[in-house]
This record gives sequence, structure tokens and C-alpha cells, in this order.
Amino acid sequence: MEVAELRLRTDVPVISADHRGYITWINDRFSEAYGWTEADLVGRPLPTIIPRRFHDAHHSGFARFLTTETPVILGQSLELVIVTKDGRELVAEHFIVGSLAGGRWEFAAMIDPVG
Amino acid sequence: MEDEPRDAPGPLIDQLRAAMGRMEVALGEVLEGIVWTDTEGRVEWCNAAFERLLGRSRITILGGRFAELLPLEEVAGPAPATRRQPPPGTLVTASHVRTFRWSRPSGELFLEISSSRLDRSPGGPRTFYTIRDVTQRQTLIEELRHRALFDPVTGLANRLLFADRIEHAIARMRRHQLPIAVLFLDVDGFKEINDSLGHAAGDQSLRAIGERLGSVLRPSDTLARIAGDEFAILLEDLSGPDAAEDVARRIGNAFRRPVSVAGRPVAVTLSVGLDVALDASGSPEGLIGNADFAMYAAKRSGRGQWRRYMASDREAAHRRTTLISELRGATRRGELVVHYQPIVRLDTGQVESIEALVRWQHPARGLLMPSDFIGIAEQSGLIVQVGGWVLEVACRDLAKWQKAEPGLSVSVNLSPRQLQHRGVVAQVRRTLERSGIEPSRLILEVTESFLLTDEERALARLRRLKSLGIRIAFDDFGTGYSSLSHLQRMPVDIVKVDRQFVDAIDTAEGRRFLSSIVELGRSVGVSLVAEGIERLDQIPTLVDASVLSGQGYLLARPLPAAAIAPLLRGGLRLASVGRS
Repeated sequence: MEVAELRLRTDVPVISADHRGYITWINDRFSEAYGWTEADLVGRPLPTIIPRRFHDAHHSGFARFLTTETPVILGQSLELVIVTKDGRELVAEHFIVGSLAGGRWEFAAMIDPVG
Repeated sequence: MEDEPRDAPGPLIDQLRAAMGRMEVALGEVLEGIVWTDTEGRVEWCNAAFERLLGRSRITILGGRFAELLPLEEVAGPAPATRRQPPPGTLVTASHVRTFRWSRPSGELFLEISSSRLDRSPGGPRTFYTIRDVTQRQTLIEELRHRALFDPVTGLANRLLFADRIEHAIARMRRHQLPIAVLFLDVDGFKEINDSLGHAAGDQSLRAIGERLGSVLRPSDTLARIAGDEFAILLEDLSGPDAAEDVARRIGNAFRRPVSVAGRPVAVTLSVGLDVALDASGSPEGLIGNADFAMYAAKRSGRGQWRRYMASDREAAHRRTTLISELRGATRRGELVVHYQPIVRLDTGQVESIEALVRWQHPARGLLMPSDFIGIAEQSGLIVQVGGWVLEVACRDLAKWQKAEPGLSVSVNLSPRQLQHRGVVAQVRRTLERSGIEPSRLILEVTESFLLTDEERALARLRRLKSLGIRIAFDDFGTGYSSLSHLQRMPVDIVKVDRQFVDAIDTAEGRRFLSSIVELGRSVGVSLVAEGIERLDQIPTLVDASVLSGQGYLLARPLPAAAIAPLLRGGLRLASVGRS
């Protein structure tokens, strides 16, 4: 699945980021589910919505992907923790995809709250 | 920024990310697991080896507490837990290496874990772990420990463990006052059983005899196999002095029925000697010795007899003392001779060294092997004289052979008693000087047993011997007690792998064991010699396992000195044997 396809979904929370890991876009479902507005997130790094204790692994995993271009977590459903605007941690099912656009990677994730 | 070419170094963040990506890949290839945890012990990062160890992907590991992910139980490693002094300039403030047992549902693993703390780190101190799977090494230690205390053929206690049990039983007697007894049992005519049924069946019959004996005993009694066809039993908390005699009778009855060996009935009788200790004044060796004397006396009165020890039984020992006095004059009378067994490069067939083995040309009893008289020589202290003589002859002979074969070495056995002897270093030095051989061409072979008494002094003496420039070989490796821990501390150049391991290389387990020993040898920097090579097909397996030297009847039997020079000239022509 391509990033562009995922960004067309309006029924689930979706977020996208560029090849440096900066958030480029969120949809309305995302704002409703997690309280963040576009103004809060666009242009901010992805760790903004990731709990502090997972930052090291996020950075190294992200770096590994860009170095090897071999996905480890892309294209599968993963239960991960997301931080809401009011600072709560929610377990959510993440489905992350990446695709090349104009020679650069971009990423999008469908992030569905669990339960 | 959007127009940057894809290959440009790009902004600093991209460079950092690329460096991190490469490091992540490199750490993913490391065999040790690497983990770091935050101030609360939760995993912040781990590498691929740690994922493989847990059988889980990193995403499911992150945030978990290290202590819960890996519930560990500390075990004693080959070295005690070490607290490493952090090297100067390091950021790490405390560092430990410990060995742990991890009991997983799919089996037990042993892990060597080093933990280090980094105090100055953004977000609080972090602990770094590196985790190495040392299951193979630890299993080897456990197996060696087991081998050190149990007889591999019957699985029964060996002499060392048996003596230890008696020691404890004597200590208990001080509190409970109940008598204990030691029974010494020898299989009548075992040599004939062995000869008629074959070697493997001999082992089977020993196991069958062990099982039959076990069926007569209480669970609290200790049954041991203490030598070839000799068993011993320790009975504790006896109701009275005669209770042990009842057990001896029951044993006699139990063997009225033949035992079954490879489906065939084999009639077996045992000669039994017993000694009862009514108070705690005895010693393990004293009790075993008395029971042994009584057993000899029983055997003289016919097969399948038992006898309680009496002081007169010691007279049977007279024969041994006669042998001792005969041995005393044997060197002077020129009755001792040295035979030599070549030690051969297995891949080329070249003779590397020769082991000197003493024989006694006894005027009345014929050619005696070391097993017939080294025991009494050791006990009586005559070994110092005998061993010194063998060393002298071997060095002299080597000097002769080196004219044709300058690279040849000679191996001479050094017994525990010799090593205890104060003058041993001077004796070796003088012998080297007299013979004129290069010290490195002399190899002194010691067995683990010398470590049993006053280990520190023995090791110190061994180091002084080594400082003469000679080499030290560790004989019969794997048969004695806690070899592994000793090997790491011993000033040893060569390890002679005992024949039982060479015999076992047909089996996957045997090969695994051999490769553990090879690995161990490599890690402490010693070379290996395989003992007891008797079959051609063992050679390629040994060479494949990187055991490149060997000795055994297949390669060459021990030969008189006169037969060695032609052998050196002719070579063993083993090259074709090695890897055909």
C-alpha cells in the first residue's frame, strides 16, 4: 500500500511524515482520536507522539531503514503506544507504510486506538 | 533544500542518521546481545542478537523490564563474579561480569552478562548489558564436574565421591553414634568375563552388577565403583555391628541368579570384605583399606566369599612390601627399562615427540607394566628415584636421536609425588645440563591428581619448572576433577585429551564434547594431543576438529629404544591415513 492511498482514508486516524521523520499531515480522525491539531504537529518530529522511553529505538530503527531501505516494521499491524495531546499514553494498532516519491521516502501510518 | 541531490551529505541531522543507521546495522551483526535500560530498568534499545535470544522482535521487547524479560538465577562461573575496574577515561562507573542460568520453557541456557552503568546520560543513568550465550562452556563444566565424581561406565559414585561420603558419615557418627560399615567388593574372575565376552560386554556386565547390587541396598546406602572391577558400599546408621554382615550375605544370595549381559546369562560371584566403624576414629582411606585387605583374604578362601576385616588380613599386604623392596634395588640392578611411544602429527605422519614409559624387567615375574608397580612406587616415595632415572635416560636417548632429528621432543611423566619433592626443579635442571638438550625439547606430563594436595604449592613448583624453558603437558585431560577451572590457571602448553573422549567421537555428543575441548584449548592457548587412537577412521575426525597430534596403538605401540631410530628414519607414512 502506498502512502498516497493511506492518505485518502477518512474513516481511520492517519498521519504522514517525510524522509527526515517530520510530520507533514494528519487527518480529522487523527485529531479527534488523539487531540492533536494540524498546527500542533505539522513540521514537528515524530517522537512528539512517541513516549520518551521509545525514542532511542525509534531513532535507531528509522536510521536503519533509511540506511538499508529494508523494512522491518513496515506493512504490518503492530500494537504500539501513542501519546495524546493531553499527555496520556494509549495503546493503538499501528499500520505503517513507506513509499518513494520523487526519490525520497515518505511514510504514513494508520493508528487505530485499541479497545 | 528540496533540490538537494539524493547523494549529497545533506544537513547534519541526515549525516547523524546515516551514521546511526550504519551503527545499528553493525550492532545487529554482533553475536552478543546488547541492551540498554533506562533509570527504571526498562529496555530502551536492544540489538538483533538479543531479539534472537528472546525469540521476540524488538518492538515487543521495548519498554519491558530487563529483569522480567530475562528472569535469571546466578550460578558460579569458571571464574567468580568479577567486578571490573573501569578503565581510565571511560564514562562507565561500575561494571560486573556474572554467569546466570535462564530457565526457559524450551530449555535451559547459561548466559554470561556484563553490566555497566553510565551515570552521565541525558534523561538519567542507563545500564548497558552485553549478553553472551555460554551454555556450551557451562555444560562442559557441569559434565566435567559430574565425571569427576561419577564413574562414566556405571553412573555410580567414584572413589573420590565415595571417600567424601565416608568422611561425612564419620562426621555424622559423632552425633548419632550409630555404626557405619564399608564393604569392598571385587568381581571374581572378571578378566575372564571380559576376555570371553569382549570389552563392550565387560562394561555391560559392570553395569548389570551395579544394578544387582543396588537392588540389595537401601536408598540411603552409597554404592560406588572405585576401580576396574571393584565396587564399594557405604552403609550408614546400622542397627548394630552385625547388620553389615547381613548385607554381605544378601549380596551373596542376590548373585545366585546370573546377571544378564547382552541378553545372555552370565554367572557372577563377588568377593566381599567389610569393615565396621563403631566410633568416629577412623578415616575413609583406613576403612576402605581394611575392607580391601579383608576382601583379599576372602578371595583366597574361594569365590563368592565374604569376610569381616581382622588385623591379620594386613599380612596380605606383605606381598606389596616385598615388591617395594624389590623395586628399591631395581634401578641399581638395571631391571628398569624405558620404552618409547611416538606422538605423531596426524595430518603429516611426522613423529613430533616420543613419550618415555617405564617397564620393569622383573627377574621372577617378567616384564611389568607401570600399572603393576607405579602405584606402590608412588605410595612408597620410590617414584622420586624411579622417575629421576627415567628422566635421565629419556634425555640422554633424545640427545642421541636429535643428531638425526633435531626437532624431536621427549615427553616424560612427572608423578604427583615427584612434583611434591623439594629437589625436583634442581633435578630437572641438572638432567637438562648433563644431556645437553634444548630445554624446550623436554615435555613433562602431569595429571590433574597432583592438584589434589596442596594445590598452590604444586602450581608454584610447576611454574618454576616451566621457567627452566621446558614445556608442560596435562595428561588424561577430562578424567580428573574440575579440569576446566584448573586449565585456565595452569602453566600448561599441551593438553592430552583422554582416550574416553577419543573413543566417543563416533557420536554427535562425543564430537560436540571434543569441539568444546578444542575451543577451550584454543582460548587458553594450548595445543592438543589425542590419546588412545586405535581406529583409522578416528584420524580424519580428529583432524577436522583441529586436533592435529595424537598417539595410540594404531599409530605406534610403545617400543624399545633401539626401535626408535629406524622409525624416525622411516617415518610413519600417515599422510595418506590422515585425510584420504
